[in-house]
Order: sequence, then C-alpha cells, then structure tokens
Amino acid sequence: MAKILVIEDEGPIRNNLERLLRAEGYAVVTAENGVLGVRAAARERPDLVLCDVLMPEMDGYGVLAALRQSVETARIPFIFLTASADRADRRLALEHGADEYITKPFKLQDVLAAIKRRLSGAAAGD
Amino acid sequence: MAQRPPRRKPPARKPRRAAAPAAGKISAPRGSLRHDEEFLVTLFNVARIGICLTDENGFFVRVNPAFCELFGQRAAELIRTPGASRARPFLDFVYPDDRALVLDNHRKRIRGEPVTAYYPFRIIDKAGRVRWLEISAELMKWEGRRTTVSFLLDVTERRALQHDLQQSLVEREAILNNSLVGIAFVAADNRIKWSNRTFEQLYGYGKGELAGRHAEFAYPSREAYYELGRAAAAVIKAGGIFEQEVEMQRKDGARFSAFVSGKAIDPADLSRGAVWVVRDITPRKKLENELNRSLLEREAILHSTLVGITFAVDRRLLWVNDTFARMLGYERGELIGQLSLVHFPDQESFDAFGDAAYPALASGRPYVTEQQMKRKDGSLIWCQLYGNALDPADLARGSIWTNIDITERKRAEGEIRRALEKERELNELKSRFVAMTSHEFRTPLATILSSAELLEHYSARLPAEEKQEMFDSIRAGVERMAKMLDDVLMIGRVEAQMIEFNPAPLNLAAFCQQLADEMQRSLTAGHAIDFAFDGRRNDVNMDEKLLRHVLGNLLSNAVKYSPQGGTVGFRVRLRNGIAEFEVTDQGIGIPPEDRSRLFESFHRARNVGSIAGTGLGLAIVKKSVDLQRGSIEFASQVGKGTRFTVSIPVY
Repeated sequence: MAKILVIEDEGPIRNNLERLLRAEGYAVVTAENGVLGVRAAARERPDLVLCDVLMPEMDGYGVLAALRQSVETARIPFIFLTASADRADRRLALEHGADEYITKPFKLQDVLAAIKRRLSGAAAGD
Repeated sequence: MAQRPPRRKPPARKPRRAAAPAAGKISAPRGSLRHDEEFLVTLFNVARIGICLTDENGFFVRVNPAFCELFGQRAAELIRTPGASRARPFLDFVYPDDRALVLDNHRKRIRGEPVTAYYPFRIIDKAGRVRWLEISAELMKWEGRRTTVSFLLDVTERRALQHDLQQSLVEREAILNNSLVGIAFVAADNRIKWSNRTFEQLYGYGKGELAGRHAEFAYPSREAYYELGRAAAAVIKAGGIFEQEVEMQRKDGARFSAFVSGKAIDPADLSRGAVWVVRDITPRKKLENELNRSLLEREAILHSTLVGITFAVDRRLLWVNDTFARMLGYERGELIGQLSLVHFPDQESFDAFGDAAYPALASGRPYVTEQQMKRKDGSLIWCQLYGNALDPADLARGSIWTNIDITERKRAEGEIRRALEKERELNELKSRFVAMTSHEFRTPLATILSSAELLEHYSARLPAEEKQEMFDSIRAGVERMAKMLDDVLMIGRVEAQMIEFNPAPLNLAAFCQQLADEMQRSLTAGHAIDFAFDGRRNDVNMDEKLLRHVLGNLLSNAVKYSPQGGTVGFRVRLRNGIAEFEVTDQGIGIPPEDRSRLFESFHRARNVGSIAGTGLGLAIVKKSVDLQRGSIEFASQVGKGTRFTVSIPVY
C-alpha cells in the first residue's frame, strides 16, 4: 500500500485529498506547510508527494528542492498542485524537477490518474 | 592818403649871401629878417627830420645834418659843387623798385600836377641797408632857381613795428576767425563789439553783420536771454567763468544747442565787457539723444521679454529686468544691489549653485541648469537658467543670466510622471489582480469542486459529520468567492471614482452596536468583541455604506489575523465633530517592512501565512476613509497585536 504525503496549507483541500486517497486505499500523511512537509517526507519516506505551490513558510519549489537534495527523498515522485494557470509557472515547475503539474480546481480522477501514473513509473524505474 | 593840389608858397626870401654849402649847415643870417632866419636856420640844423633841397635835375643843393645822418653821407659828398662832378642825384639813393614812384612824383611836381603830398619810399643808405622814409616835398625858389624842398622821416622802425603788429593782428584774427568755436566780445551795453567768423556762421549772419548788435538776437526769446543773462552776470561779476548748455536761435529761426562760456575781460572793470565762447553741440546732443533712445529701446526690449534677465557681479544683482522681478514677486529696486542669495531657497542651494556654475563660466562655456528659486512671498518656483560670463578670463566682470519660469512645465512633467506612475500602478494592480484571482479564486473553487465530487462519488464511504463538513466548506468557499468579488468590484469602483460620499442622518451608537453584534455572531470560540461607545450625542450625518466598509473590514481583519483568539476592542468616541473609531486586536501584527504598502490593493503582509485574503480589505478601508475626508493611523507590534484608529468628521 503506497504512502502518499499531501502538503497543502488550505485545510478543506487538504482534508478532501486525504479523504479521497484513503478511500482509494492509500496510506496518507499530511502537512500544512512546506517546512512541516519536508520534515514529514524525511520521517515518513512517502512513495509520492502531492504538494501545493503557494504556501507560507516554504513554498512548493522550496519543498521540491529540499527533497531533491536529500538522497533518501531525491527520487520520490513529486506532483505539484497549483492555483496558477500560468503556463510560465507550469514550465517553471517542471524545470524544477516536478513530475506532474495539476491545476486547481482539479477533478479527483485527474489526481488519481496522475498518482497511478507516477507510482507505476517509479516502480518501473526501480 | 589824401591828395591835395600843389600850393604855391610865396617865394622864399633869398639869403643875403650864399652860405657855405659844404658844412651841411646853414649859417645864421644877419640883418632885418634875422630872427626868422635864425629860427629857420636853427630848425634846419637841429630838426630830427631830414631836409634837403634839390635842383630840377634832382641833385642836392642843400642837406641838413639829420638828412646826412639818414643817408649816412656827409654833406660834402652829396652836394654838387662845380668841379666836383662825383655828386649823385637824389634818385641814386632811392631803392630801385621805388625810383619810378619818386621820379614820377618829382616830374609831376615840376609840371605843377597834383602829387601825393606824403608818401613812403625806400632808400639804400651808405651801409647798403634799406631804410623806409616818408617824404613830403614842395617846390620853392632857391637862389632864383626852381628847387624842391623835401622833408624826410625815417619810418623804418615804425614800419617794422607796424608790420609786426599788423602781422600779429592778422594772425590773431586768423586764429580767432578760424577757431572752431564762436567767439564774441560783448560790450558792457550787451552789444557785440567783435565776433569771429565762426560766431557769425553759427548764427547764420554775414561777415561783420553782427557788430554792434544787441546780444538778444542769439536767443529764441527775450525771456531766455534774460534768464541766461541773470545767471551769467552773477558768475561773471564774481570773476568766474559762466558755463551752460543753452538753446540758441539762428538768423533763420532754426534752433541749436550750444555750450556757452562767458568771462569778464577784466572782472575789476566790468565796463570793458566780456568775452563769450559759443560751441555748437547739436551733433553731440543728437548723438546723446540717439544713444539715450537706443538705451531706452534696449531697456524696453529687455524689460518686455518673457525671459528674466539679470546681470550679476560677485553674485550680486547689479541689474535685473522687469520680467525677472515680476517672476519673483519683487520690484526691480528691491532686487538690484542684493546678493542673489535672496532668491535661492536657502544658503545651501545658493552655495551649491555657485560651486557648479562658476567653474563652468570660467571655462568659457554657458552654464545651463534648472534651479528652484524663492519668491518674495516664500513660495518656490522652478527656473531654467542660462548663464554666460562677460569675460571668462575675469569672472569679476560679471555674468549675464536668463531665467525662464518653468514651474508650469515642471508641474506638467510631474503630472505626466504621476500619470505614468498611475498607469504603472494600474498595470501592476492588474497583474496582481490576475495573480490574486488565480490563487484566491482557484483555491475555493478547488475546495468546492473536490467536496462536490467526494460527495457525489464517495458518499457511501464517508461518515455523516465529514459530509456535513464538506457541505460547509462548499458554502464557505462560495461565500469567500462572493466576498472577493464584492471587494474587487468595490475597489474597482473606488479606483474609477464611481463611489460618492453621501452622508445621511445616522444613529452612530446603534449602527456600531449592530456591527459589533453581527461580528460577535460570526465569531468562533476563542474570540470576543469588546464594544464601547463614548459620546453625548449619537445622531450624526455619515455615509453608512462607506462606514460599513471601514469598520467591517477592520473588525473582520482583527478577528482573522488573531488566529490564537483574544479580544477585539471596538471603541467609538464622538466629540468635537469628529467620530473616532479604534479597533484593537491581539493578533499577528504587521511587520515594519510591510507598513508602507499596507493600504495598497492586493498587498498582503508577509506574515499572513495561510490566512485567506485578497489584499483588498485595507485598500478599501483607506479609500473609504479618504472619501469621508477622514484619516487613518495604526500602531502594531508583530506577534502582539495591532491598533487602527480612524477619525472621520461628522456633520
């Protein structure tokens, strides 16, 4: 059972993502800002990270960079959830090394599809 | 020399006997005529006038000692005696040029024709010198023969003197006549005794025409003559030289300007008259007038330009034109002589200007700059200055400055700059709006959509309370979006100046109480509102809508940014026509670096964290306060809390 880390400062969204993923059979860990998210990733070693971009303390790019720097977390598939529909932001996110980029508001099935894709890709890569 | 017919004298009495001629002296006669003869003999012998008797052929018969002296000859040499044929006739001694004259006269005399009685001629004396003599001659009988008696006077010296005098008089006359100034001697009776040619010409009279004329002729009017006369008399009597410029009149009535000077010939004896010198100064006057006119014209031009012009030496204003004075609100006289410091905003700007301008001027370049200047009333204007040194090598000779008032241009520039700034701000606002809408709209939309989908597809697996939570989050998301739309619309209308200030009667205490109650109802646990109203009256004229924007936002912010809970203070004081509202919280506070931009649209402090917001609330507060002609202040401490104080005049 794959473990997914959800890093999202907006409570209702974080709660809904947790509900969705649990209902789909994933183990879920949540964090409400970037700093806590990086800490949780190091502690929990999730199989995938679902992360908001605009957050207090440390934004999504910071989290991604932090995870990529650490050997233990460097290869964890990373999906951005962002409120920005700007193409420049999307390119920036992918350049930073994110694997997927999901724009808010999102369809639940899109989130699930991306997670499945990344988890199977990561498994194949291993 | 008048001529007279020859007179026949009664024949002279024959001497009784011939006197011995050789002596050159006539011996005194004897007998009845003795006395007469003695007298004549004495006269002949001692008179200082040369006397000679000549015969018809011009040979000497008798000569007196004075004659001998004149001719430098002895009598014996002159008188023809039988056997002594060496004797020379009178004519021999006559200067060759004059012989014809003498001979002619002699012949006429002999023939009994009229002869000049008295005339000058020249002889050559024994020493060979030419001497001028004057001669008068008469025919007479002498010893029975027709004889000429001549009286001769040596006029050589007199003639020489006369000649010299004549010469000097001629020279003086020439000098006086050719003098460039008119000169006149005026007698005590104020008549012209003599005047030179220049004087006559000055007044347009012919030669000699002025002699004896009363001096009044020279003046345009009798009054002018008397006026000058009185002034001159006082000076001249005192022995001084009277000098004055005066208008004179020519014979033809034309006027001219003259410089006259008068002086008594002898101050001790005014009856000897005065000498006057008159100089025509019309050309000079004309030149002067032209110069004056051109100076006046130049002044007029300089004064009437739209450009302020100054001339400064050592930074002191030696000349300014009207425009410059007007530009600074002074009279010209108030500025001339002043240090230019007077029109600088302060000593510092005066010094800085000098440090920048004078090295440039010294290098021969014009100095151009824009400088703020202080008017007399203290107000400041902007001037464009253009300075040039008169002589770059010697700045002490001064510099010329033109000054153009560019205050209007500066203001227009400022307006354009402000407009551009506004434009830039609007652009920035737009991009911030886009960024904000992206995040702040998509976030509640994400909540709403995910909640809706969960409720739709996972309803069976979710507990009831979670489902309720999701319904609530949908409602909260919608409310949040609605509030954002309201704020955006509000700020848009404010920016477009579509919001008007409409004060109306309002029960301030009741209105605030109601606001506090609404806020209280929406509060979650951990928050409290502490409301107090302080005022003797509470019926005021205020704009309720604007006031609601102000207080609603301040109160909701106070709650929103106090995540740890606490009491929100809401104090209202109404006194002296001012409603003062104070909202205090115990929240996160506002970081110092965000305070200057606190009221900008879409700006949010860096410490808001995940607290939702558009960054529009305080912008709306500020605009609403401004519309009500109020003011807003705040004091804040990060982590401790914030106090906003709004003062709004009531009507």
